[in-house]
Amino acid sequence: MTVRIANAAGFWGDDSEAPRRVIEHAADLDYLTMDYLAEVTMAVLVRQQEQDPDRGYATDFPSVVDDILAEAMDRGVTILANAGGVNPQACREAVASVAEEQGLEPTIATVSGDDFRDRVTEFDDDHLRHADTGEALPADADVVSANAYFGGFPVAEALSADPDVVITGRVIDAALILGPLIHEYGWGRGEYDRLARGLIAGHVIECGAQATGGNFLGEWEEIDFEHIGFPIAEVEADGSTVITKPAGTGGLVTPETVGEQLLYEVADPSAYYGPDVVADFQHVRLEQVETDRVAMHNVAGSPPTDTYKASLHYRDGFTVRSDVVYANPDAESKADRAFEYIRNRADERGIEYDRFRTEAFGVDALHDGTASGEPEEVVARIAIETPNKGDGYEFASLFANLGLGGPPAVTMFNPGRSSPTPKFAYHPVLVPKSEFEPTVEVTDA
Amino acid sequence: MKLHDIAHGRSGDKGNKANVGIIATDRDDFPFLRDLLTEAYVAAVFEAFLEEPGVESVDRYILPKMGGLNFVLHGALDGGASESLRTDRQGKTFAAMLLRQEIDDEYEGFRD
Repeated sequence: MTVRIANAAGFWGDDSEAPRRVIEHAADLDYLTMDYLAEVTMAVLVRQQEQDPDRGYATDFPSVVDDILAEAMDRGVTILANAGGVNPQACREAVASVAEEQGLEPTIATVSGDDFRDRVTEFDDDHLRHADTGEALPADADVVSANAYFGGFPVAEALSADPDVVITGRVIDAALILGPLIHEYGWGRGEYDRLARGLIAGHVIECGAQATGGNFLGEWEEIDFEHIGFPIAEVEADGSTVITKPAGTGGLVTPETVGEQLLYEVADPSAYYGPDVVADFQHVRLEQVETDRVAMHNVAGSPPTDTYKASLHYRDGFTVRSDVVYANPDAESKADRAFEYIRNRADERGIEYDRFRTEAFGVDALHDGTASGEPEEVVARIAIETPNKGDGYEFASLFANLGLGGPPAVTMFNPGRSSPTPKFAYHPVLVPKSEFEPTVEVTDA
Repeated sequence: MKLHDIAHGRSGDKGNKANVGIIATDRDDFPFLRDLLTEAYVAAVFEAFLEEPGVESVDRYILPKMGGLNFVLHGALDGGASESLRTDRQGKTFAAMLLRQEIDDEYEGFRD
């Protein structure tokens, strides 16, 4: 027995054709997962729910379901997504609705209980300290979202009802992959080596095509990015994993492409923390067993901590960003003059800002500029943080002035005037698992 | 020649920390990379990005069987993805910055 799990989305907004491409090309698929939630997404979803109680989930997901549910149900492929965001029940209703229009009656399970925005004040101050810096949550913080990262076990519990679709709130991305493995193989909470292998399999495929040649910094020139195959983890009962991709798709699965993803967003590879297990892949060995098939060896696990990682976001002012473009010659000098101009005019107007950052795109925006010669053009990018939306609008209005009244050889990078964007401070914490009860609900459409 | 001629990698974020994973393209070059890419070397390359420039802001982890090195850069992302005013708020281009380093002198004679 081998369990085959594909991931067809690495973020909300990822390739909308990927789920169909996966399901059409992947034979013998058991599970199709999609990851929609970045850290700040939760705060954005809360704002949407505040404006409309039926929102607060990844609204792309129902249309993906609409596209693939009939074939998935026909072939017995279970769909899992963390598309529930801060409102899994509303997401379930939307999915049930699109299914009904097709005459389908899927069983839908939801996993929730991660959301504690309404009871943040009940937690000890010590549990709300920033997990990296140790700083307390500011006493006056206007907390928008608060979510614990659940692991694979609640997802496995949801699967025990044999649903067609599983919708979760905040779980670690890899829980969508680990959950099916716990369910299929009956892994217990103490089988740390197996759980660790499932966690790392999930870690490798959770970012979609980054495991199959996307963003590959090695020899990328020959990769067919247009039709890139999203990753599949083929996992055995002991957790042994092969990473592959659907036949007939683009991309590349080699120890090099898988290796880059293995190291993505990782700190200590001997202690990769998940809610169910701490994985050790420091001594991992990647083996090309066939074309586009890579086996992972030497992953082990140890017991998890008694805390969940959780993300809080609180309101923290606004940011405004705008760009103007200057041409050679002396593009950099003109851009520098534009930076000076905007700062002087903002100060004369009394616009309040806490931070002011300039980037001369083409010179030193991404790196430190030490590799550059004289650039052909420069994008002068300017961003501020301000506590006041009004000041943000006023700041944004300054850029048009450069069109006729600033340094020469200028053109606008983006048409129109930019707007202040609400900013949310990210505040990760470690909260006692005992404070949470993952909730699984199952409904028949 | 540049580091990119013998290695590849990927970078990303965790809060205000960036990580840069570097992998030897040919396993025979891994000892060279391991010797060259110390925490001090990486701290110097990213000096302009570190809130506290210096070797204390960089941790290195070695993955010997895959020929990989993982660097964690503390305080390297202008507060982190939701705070940063930079374009590259998640340090996604940091691996490219490390790999563009010239290594002609250091590499000379290594493979002879």
